Formats: sequence, C-alpha cells, structure tokens
Amino acid sequence: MKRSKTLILLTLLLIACNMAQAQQESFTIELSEPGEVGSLKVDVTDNPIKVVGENRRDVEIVIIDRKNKNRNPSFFFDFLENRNRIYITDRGRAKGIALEIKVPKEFELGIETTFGDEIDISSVSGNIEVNAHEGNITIAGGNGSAVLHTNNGDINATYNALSEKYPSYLSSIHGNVRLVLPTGYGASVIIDSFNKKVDSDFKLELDYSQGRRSYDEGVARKINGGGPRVVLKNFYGRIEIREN
Amino acid sequence: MKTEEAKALLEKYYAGTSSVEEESQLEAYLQKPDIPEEFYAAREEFFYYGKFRNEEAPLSLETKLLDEIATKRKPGGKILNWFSPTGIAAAIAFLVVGFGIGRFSIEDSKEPTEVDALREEVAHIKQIMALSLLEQNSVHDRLKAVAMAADLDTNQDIITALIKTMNTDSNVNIRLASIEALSKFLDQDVVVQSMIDALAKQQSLPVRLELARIMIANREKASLPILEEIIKDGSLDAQVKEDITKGIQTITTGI
Repeated sequence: MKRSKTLILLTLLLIACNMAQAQQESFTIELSEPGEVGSLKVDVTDNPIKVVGENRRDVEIVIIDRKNKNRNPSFFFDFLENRNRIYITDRGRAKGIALEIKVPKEFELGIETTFGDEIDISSVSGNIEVNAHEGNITIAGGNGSAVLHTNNGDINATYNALSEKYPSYLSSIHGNVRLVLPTGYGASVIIDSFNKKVDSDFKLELDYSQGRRSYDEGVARKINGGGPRVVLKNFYGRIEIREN
Repeated sequence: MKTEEAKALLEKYYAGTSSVEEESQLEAYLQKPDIPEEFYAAREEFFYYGKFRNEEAPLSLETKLLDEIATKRKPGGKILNWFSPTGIAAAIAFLVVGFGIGRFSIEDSKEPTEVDALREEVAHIKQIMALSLLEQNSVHDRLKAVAMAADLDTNQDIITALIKTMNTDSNVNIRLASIEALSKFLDQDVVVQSMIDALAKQQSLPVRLELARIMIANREKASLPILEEIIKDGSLDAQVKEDITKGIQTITTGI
C-alpha cells in the first residue's frame, strides 16, 4: 500500500514537472532592410500574444505550448518576411499556444485574434492596430497612434505620447477603456460612453473646435489645452483617463 | 449599364466632373469581359491609373501639400513688428481703410473674396487628401481620412465615400468613425437611408449598436422594422436587446 502511494506521488510529480516545462520553439527572422522601420502583422484565431520592443535589428518569435500536448507548436503557424514586413498567420485554431514576439523598438503593429484571451504590447514606438474581439488589450510605454478594439475585453493603454499625425481610436462594447497619459500631457479627446461612466484624473474642458454631434452633444473635450486627437468609446463599460 | 450611359459617364470622367459613385459604376462596367471594343482603350487607361489606388502615397506628399497650403496662406512671408512706428502706422491705416471698406461695401459683403477663394481651395485640397487617404491600406491613414472628412462641409463625394467606408471598411473602429462623421449630415435623406440599410446588413455588433443609437436619438421611424427584426435575434446580448427595445418605444411614442 505504501509502495503504491509512493508510485502515485512520483507519477504526479512527473506530470507536474512535465507541465511546468512548457514546450517552446524560437525563431529569428532577419529583416531585409535592417535598421529601417518595419511592421508586424499577426492574424491568428486563438492565441495570447505578447510583443516586446527591444534594441535589436531582427525579430524573434517564440512559440510556447502552454498545454504541452506533445505537439510541434511551430507546425500551427506560418511566417513570412517581405521588405521589412512580417506576417504571422495560423493554420487553424491552436488553443493553448502563446506567441511572444520581440521586435525592434520602432515598429508598426497590426494584430488580430478572434478568441485570444490577451494581447500584451510593451515598449514599442509606432502605430498600433489591434482587434482582440474577445480578449483584453494591454499596451505599456506606447508612442504613436492606437487603433484598438475588443468586444468583451478591457483596454488598458499607457502611452508616453500619442501620434500628432494620426488620430487614435479605442473602443470596447462590454469592457472598460482606460487610457493612461503622462502628467501635464495635452490631448483632444472625444469621450463617448453610452452609459456615461467616465472617470478622469485630468480636467476635461469642453472643446468646441472638434465639432459636436447632433445625437450626443458635448462629448469633445480637451485636456491640458488639447493636442493629439483620440476617441475613447464604449457602450457598457467604463472609460477612464488616468495620469501616469 | 447601357453603352450610351457608359459613354456619357466616360465623358464626365475625362472632363473631371464625375463623382466617386459614378466612377465606381464606370469601374464596374469596364471590368465586364463583354464590353464593346470602343471601350478597350478607356479600360486600359482607367485601370492603369486605378492600380495606383492601392499604392501607398509617399509620406512626403502630405507634407508637401500642407506646406503649399501654408505658403498660400502667408504670401511674402515677411513678419511685421506691430510695435514699431511702421507697425503702428500700418495698424492705423488698416483701421481707417477697414472702416471705409466696411462702411461702403456692406452691400457687397456677399461677394466672394480672395480669402473665401483660398478657403475653398484649401477645403478642396483637404477633400482630395481625405478621398485619397480613404483608399489606403493603412488603417491609420484611413482613420485620419475619416477625421478630415468629418471636418469638411457637406459634399456629395465625401458623403458617398463615407457611406462606402461605413459599409465596407475592414476595421470596426473606422466603420464607427465614419458613422460618427456621417451623423453630421442627418438632414440628408441619402445619409439616413444608408444608415437604415447598413443597420439591416451589418453583422458587427458595435456598428449595429452605433447605428441603432443614432436612429433612436433621431426618432427615425423608418428604422423601426429593422430594429424590431434585430431584437428577435436569439443570440443578441440581453442588455443590448433591452436598450433597443426601449429605443423602439421611444421612437414609437416620440417621448
């Protein structure tokens, strides 16, 4: 009896060790124009995605099988590089496999996932487009234009600066939309909250220069005298503008 | 489209007076494999220019255009110091002349001035830029285009382009932004009707919600059959269903 208990414990320990050692594969993609600004386009069905900006001239893709199903994780994805544009697509639903992508600090991103639970981007300077459908979108240390949408997740975007050249647009149906900007930062904000749940660390002044909409007046605001234009929109969640 | 109609549209296209909608019709016609031989040359030319629509405009283009606008705004570019004796004399002269002009030309105030012409020219350049940016692959360019279009005055080409964007853009935020831009023109039947059509066809929940909001806020009775159809959808979120149901009551009762 004692022997069989020890055997069960040993088996459980082995399973736990095996689970802890998630299978992962790493690929480095050289850019055809190293040093020039490139872009990354990811279009997958069901994978959490993490993108980190680093001091580098190539792109590293790490594919992590969190469920460790003894499968070859890279089998599920295709990569393509063309004139500094990198495309990553999946070959079908690969649940439990996460992507971690390391890119040069200045890079443009376009990420779309249908069921992926989390998109996490940090330290990337460049325009970012994300459509998460169901998951959360988190951006840290952003610098550029953000065009972000999720139906049911939260958006939490911390920006050092928004693009002066391109407007930004953050929207969610059921989730919260949270934009964090540096103290004293000026921006022209259109706040469009269907259920009027808005909270701001900044003083929100009326901004007549952005025009008014006939069906919901008075949503255009400026903070610290105005600046880059950003739309914050949601239907059933909260909108927050926070100072960093 | 009949051959004669295509010819007339082609003439308008060459004369530079065709609208975006007419050009789309012409494009569709010229794409047909069985068009008369007399259109072959036009087809080649049309698609020769058309293929550049998908090319990204050089980043310098916008800067050049804006520089040109700025140059036109400041002919000469020399800055006058208003606190110098010359400046004070000039200010007094302007006041006197301004008073005189104001007094004797009130009746002519509706005549277009050089400033009006310049403003019109700038608006025209902005319109061209907005229409061109809307065709770009970059979502950021297209969002910028919608924002630019929203700042322009009523213009049929811009409205047509915004309606097309609302219906077909691949990015949900851009479709939402184009709806917001179009909501400025709710006094136009074509805009209201396009929104009702989109409400019926669009599958995207946020787009439908946004359109429903506008229809409800605008007490648009023609949208009632579509809204009633939407709430029959069994998969519709309960909260959304409740809000649209309330909206239907608002439109019906007018309260």
